[in-house]
Amino acid sequence: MKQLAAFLAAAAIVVGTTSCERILDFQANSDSQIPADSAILTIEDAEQLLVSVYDVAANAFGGRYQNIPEVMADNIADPLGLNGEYAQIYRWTSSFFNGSFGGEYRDAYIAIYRANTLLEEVADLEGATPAAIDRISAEAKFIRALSHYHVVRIWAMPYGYTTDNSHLGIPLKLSADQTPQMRATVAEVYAAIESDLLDAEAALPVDNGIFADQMAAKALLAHVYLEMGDFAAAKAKASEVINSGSYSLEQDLTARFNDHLNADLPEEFIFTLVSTNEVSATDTLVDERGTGFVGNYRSDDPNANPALKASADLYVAATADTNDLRGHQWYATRNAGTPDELYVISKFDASFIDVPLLHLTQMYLIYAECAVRLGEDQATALGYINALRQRANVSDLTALTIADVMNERRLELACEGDRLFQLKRQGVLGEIQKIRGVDWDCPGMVLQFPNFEGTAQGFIYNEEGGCE
Amino acid sequence: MKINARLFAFVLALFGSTYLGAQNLSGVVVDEYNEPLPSVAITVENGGATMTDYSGQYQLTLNKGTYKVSFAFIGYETQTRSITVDGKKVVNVVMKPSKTQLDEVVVVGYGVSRKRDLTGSVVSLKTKELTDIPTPSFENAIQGKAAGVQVITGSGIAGSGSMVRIRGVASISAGGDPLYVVDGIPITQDYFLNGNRGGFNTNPLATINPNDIESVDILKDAAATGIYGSRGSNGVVLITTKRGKSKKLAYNFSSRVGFSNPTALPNMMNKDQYLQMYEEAWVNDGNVGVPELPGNRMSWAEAQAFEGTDWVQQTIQQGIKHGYDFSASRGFKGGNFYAGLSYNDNNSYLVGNSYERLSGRFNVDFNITDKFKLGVSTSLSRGINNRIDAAWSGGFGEAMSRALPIYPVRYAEDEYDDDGNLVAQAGDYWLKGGIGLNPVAQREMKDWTAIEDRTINNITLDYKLSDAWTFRGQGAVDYMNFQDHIWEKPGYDPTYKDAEGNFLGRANMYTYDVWNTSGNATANYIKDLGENHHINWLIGSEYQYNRVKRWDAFYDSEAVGQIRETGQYVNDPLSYIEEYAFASAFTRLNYNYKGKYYAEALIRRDGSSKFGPNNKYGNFPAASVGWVISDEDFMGAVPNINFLKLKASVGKNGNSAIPSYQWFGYYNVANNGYGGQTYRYPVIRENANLRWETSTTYDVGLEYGFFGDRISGELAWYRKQTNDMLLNVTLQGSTGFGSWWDNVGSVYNTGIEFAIKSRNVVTDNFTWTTDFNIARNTNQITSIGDYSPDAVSGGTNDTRVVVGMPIGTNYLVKFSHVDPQNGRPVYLTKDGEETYTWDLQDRVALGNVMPDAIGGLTNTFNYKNFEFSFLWVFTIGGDIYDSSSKRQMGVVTDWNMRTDLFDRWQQPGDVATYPVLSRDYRTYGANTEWINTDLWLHDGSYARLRNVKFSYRVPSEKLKHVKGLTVNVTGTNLLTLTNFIGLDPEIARDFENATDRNMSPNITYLTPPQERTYNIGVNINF
Repeated sequence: MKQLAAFLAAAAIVVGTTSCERILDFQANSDSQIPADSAILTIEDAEQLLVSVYDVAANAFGGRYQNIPEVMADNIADPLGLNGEYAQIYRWTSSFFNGSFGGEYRDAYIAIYRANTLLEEVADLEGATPAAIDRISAEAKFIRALSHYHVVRIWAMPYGYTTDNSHLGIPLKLSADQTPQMRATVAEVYAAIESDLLDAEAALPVDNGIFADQMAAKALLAHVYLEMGDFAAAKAKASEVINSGSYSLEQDLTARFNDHLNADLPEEFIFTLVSTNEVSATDTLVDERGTGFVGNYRSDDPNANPALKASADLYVAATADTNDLRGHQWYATRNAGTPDELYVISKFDASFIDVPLLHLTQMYLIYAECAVRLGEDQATALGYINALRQRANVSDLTALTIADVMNERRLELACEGDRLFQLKRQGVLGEIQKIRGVDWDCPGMVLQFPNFEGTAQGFIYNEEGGCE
Repeated sequence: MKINARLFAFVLALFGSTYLGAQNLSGVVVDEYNEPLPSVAITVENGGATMTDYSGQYQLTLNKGTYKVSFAFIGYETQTRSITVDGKKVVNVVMKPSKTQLDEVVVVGYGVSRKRDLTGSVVSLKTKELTDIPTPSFENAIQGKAAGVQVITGSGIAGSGSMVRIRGVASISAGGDPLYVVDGIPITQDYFLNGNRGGFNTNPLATINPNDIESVDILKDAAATGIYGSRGSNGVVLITTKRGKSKKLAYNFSSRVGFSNPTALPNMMNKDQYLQMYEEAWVNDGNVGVPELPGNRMSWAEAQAFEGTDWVQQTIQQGIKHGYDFSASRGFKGGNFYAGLSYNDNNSYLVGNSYERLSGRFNVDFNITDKFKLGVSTSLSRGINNRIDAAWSGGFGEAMSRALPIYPVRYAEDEYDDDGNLVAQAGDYWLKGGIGLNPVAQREMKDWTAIEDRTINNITLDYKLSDAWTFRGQGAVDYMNFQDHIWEKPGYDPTYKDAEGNFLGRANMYTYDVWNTSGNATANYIKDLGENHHINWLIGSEYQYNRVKRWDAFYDSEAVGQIRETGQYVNDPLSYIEEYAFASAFTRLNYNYKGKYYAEALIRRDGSSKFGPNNKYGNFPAASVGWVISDEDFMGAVPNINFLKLKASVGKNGNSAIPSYQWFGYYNVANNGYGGQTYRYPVIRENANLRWETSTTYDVGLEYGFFGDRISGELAWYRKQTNDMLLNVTLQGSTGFGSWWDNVGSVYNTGIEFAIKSRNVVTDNFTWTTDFNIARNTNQITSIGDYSPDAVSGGTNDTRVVVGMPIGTNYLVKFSHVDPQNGRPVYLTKDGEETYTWDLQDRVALGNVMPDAIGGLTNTFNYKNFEFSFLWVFTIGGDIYDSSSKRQMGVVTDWNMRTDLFDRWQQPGDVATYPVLSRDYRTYGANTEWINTDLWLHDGSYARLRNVKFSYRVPSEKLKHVKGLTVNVTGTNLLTLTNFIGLDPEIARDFENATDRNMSPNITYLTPPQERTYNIGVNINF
């Protein structure tokens, strides 16, 4: 009996100390952290998550993405030194340990993941109205398309590289599901981008403040169709934007990359990553979105040694016409006449620049290129090109060739991250064979995936071996 | 030093004195190690009895005559001597362990057991084995003494920890270190509490004084570790501290003083060699004219004119170490006590680096009534670590890398800039390349001290309800407070300036405290059912709560001492708290029949706060059997086998050594996001299924004793299958997350262990004992789920996780040879074809991170009062990846080079080890400067004379005032036999995290070599 009592006592000790669930529950001690299962419950929560979608997208696309294709193509001078990431990209020798650009890669997918979370959860949230659900979903799809579009152009061979576009694209993330994803084909990626943008175009509001609106979706569609070689569709979308009456050309060339902290954005901006610098007695808000550009190009300090400088090729093209304001206002020569002569870029000489991802100049150029390629509406196209030329203080053209349009495009969009894709499009069409002396479609013309993308078994990396 | 000189004089004085006392029969009884043996029963046939005291002495008053006197002590052979007493007679006796070595009591989880009764695999080490080698931290002393326990002593940096691996590595991202338990209490032992600041992981075990330890018992198989359930898969190290034993108040004082040097010095180039090689690379690259030096910090002419700096010599010194231990202990009727006080100061061979420890311990037991017993153990210690930058962080590491021999320590003349402004005066530190290029300035302008206070306390209450039932309750607090203070003088970082342009200093403080409390309650039922059936049943529960709190503070000021002097933090300290808890219940049933057939079954159920709600609890059972074959009747006919036991066990253990909160999904909320708006975003992905990593271990062992235990030992085989490995997985970037913890894949370890102790010569005056052990362990990853090798990142490692290969395989491009025609390196593609192009796609799994076999060999010679012993430790197979040599001997960069590089290609036809010198990585077919190839992978086998000890115990009859006096001389790491071309083949580098520690134990990166020490010591009992 005594032994039984003792056993019961021992058992009581055991049960008493282990049955209490609470003693094993600890959560991170932080006011700013919310457990995931209670983080997105109301429509207000969703709005805050949506802000973070823009937030991360604005970090990625405020120059960091755009610089990669620019350096790969022919607008930028050799970033001397052998070890900088830009130097590796310039030499088309990126490898999967190229950590810096892994950050860019991941940021786009962070935006996509958050957009996918919104798309899956927004309908069931407390306080969700049909209008709010539609708008939030449309914005999420817009950013998802924008992100996929940026990634696929840098990490995969272009649309048209194979006739059916069955070549490998990028992981296509259309749900918040976390199972590893292999690379979809380029055809699949572009189909998804188009579908997202068509949905966004249908549901985005006409006016949406600093966030994406209907015209932004149309303008991005124009870009995407051009990339896909669907010139009629691209021209139609560009035309819709141009003729919407909402935008007009900004005549001051320096305004495109300037701060507009105390002024309205220029009338030609369609979708802009906005910087803020508000310091008041009670609050400080410093939010600079164009640092990818400013940090690498800015040259207004005479002693500045910016990482990225213009190639002689670009400088010569921009200053071919001595009247061309684009040459005068966007470049400067240093050490003129010496063996160390170099050309700095002054296009981004400001703090707190706003980054117009989509602007009217692009629409003019898309329209003109498509019109020439299709042989339609060439007079209208000529008018758009001449409008740009007049702004730059150069004489009108009387007729348009593809070469003319491409030259204007290069000069207008220099260092905005367009040049490589312009050349690759021409490569697909057989108009050019070489980029900076090597085949336009050599392996180094796409960036290698960062090593963390290959953490899923079976992932296929891009071919390495550069371009020789 | 002063104190020691005086002590020495005292010792010498004692030598000169003679022993005058004692009547009749007296003497000293010592054990096989020449240590006094207390409580030896001495019986005189027809003449009374006595016992030896604490110092092993006895005294008997006898009438003149001849007697048969027997000396008996448990665990030792009883010796009977025929002694003729005529006047005073001194008989000293050396006791020899009997076959009842197996009667030795070893500590097992929540109890003790006779070694004979064990069905699990346990290695027990006693004080003597733990203190015979002068190490600041006890775990270093285990090296080479326990089969299957790999101990890699840390680097030569004072206070560095060892790497302890019991039966291989079974984890990838979860901690691979054993559980450490002091007097029944799991203690905090996390090498990463202070990160990897300065290229060094702090060692929380260093605050434990080795002299306070009575025994260390290492539990290896599931039968032994099973009672620790989810904590036991890496093995368990049970530490028992000393308690009072002798009936008289006994004092012990010991002291040791010594000095140290590095075991190896790097063969860096001197100034002329450096310039010659640099110029050769410059010319090889097609450059003409005067070479430009890295960073253009000086002209070629200036470099040539300068006499050169030997930066290695600027960072090393002769290290001096000294330590003092004092203890008092006594057993009395109502209990016992032990009190110890210790001071240890260990200056390493690195200038500015030392570890000082001051510690005290007080253990006391009270027998309150016949049934109630109260035990209290408490210790308090302070470790003061004068820190320096090491490895990648500076100091000796910079002396092997970026501190070029062309750079001076100080300006010889005033220095002006191009505009004629004075920028530095003669005698100022030369800081043109920043503080990192001048290790002397870095050291002298940085005042860095880490202070660690630790107290480990427990209180134990035993209640004996009946002969069969005993209850025990135990409560403990293990508290640690760590403060890392770094003061950088003005000018240390030239970017810290005030508005007027004056340099500012900077104070940095990084602190944490760890509050680790636990309690357990056990009930124990021991019953003999009849004569043949013996039952021992344990049931218990345990709860442990652990909290780590961190806060850091920084302050820039010309008055750099601000934080230190005022204690005021100018910045709000950042505070971070991490908590976890375990709740457990367990039971164990031992049964034996006639002490011949043994069986044990146990199960532990653990709950942990670290795991998701779906898998918070886990069950960990184990079962084992033992059979003492030598007690069978049929063995009676077999001569010379006095003991033979076969044992087998199977059981399941867990591992939960991962950071807290990892299963939670979290969102952050922040203000001022895009457009100034509040935003929220996911930061950690939820994994509600996160669960224990589990290991199932099978073990078969054979214990043997031949020729009356002249030869004894153990042979064991095991296989440990680990599933659901806890991996910190780098997620595919397109998931939108960085990494998370997941249970992935499996690995197995299998191995054999063999230990033998041979008493080669046993005579009254001379004994020679040999201890040898060797263990072989192999492991293989059998699955990593759907992840690829690149999913597991381990900080600084250059190793990968590859299915079909061991944990931590070097993943490298194969280097074939240097093309004799053009000097270019030739690599091999994945398919074995020769190529000039170094391509990451051609990496293949190479090298063995873990050695094929490890072991130790100890020989001990005793002649009268002299003892001489030496310990060899060895490692067979296993490769070392000398990661820093890819920069010291690869593309010529801003690093100094090693003289190995003299064997480079210079002209067509040269057959050279190293390729043509070049400053352009494209010469080597690479797309980056620092390329990993197997050119830097070396055989890491070595044999090392780890310890040599010579001691002399002054005969007690020569002593006055004291009861025992031993003097000893020891030398450690005196000799290393190896083909490794780098510094020290025994490497425990600094690690970034547990993954790094598990996967890259064979990587060296500017790691300082170990120290070679010479010591003299004295031990006094009184």
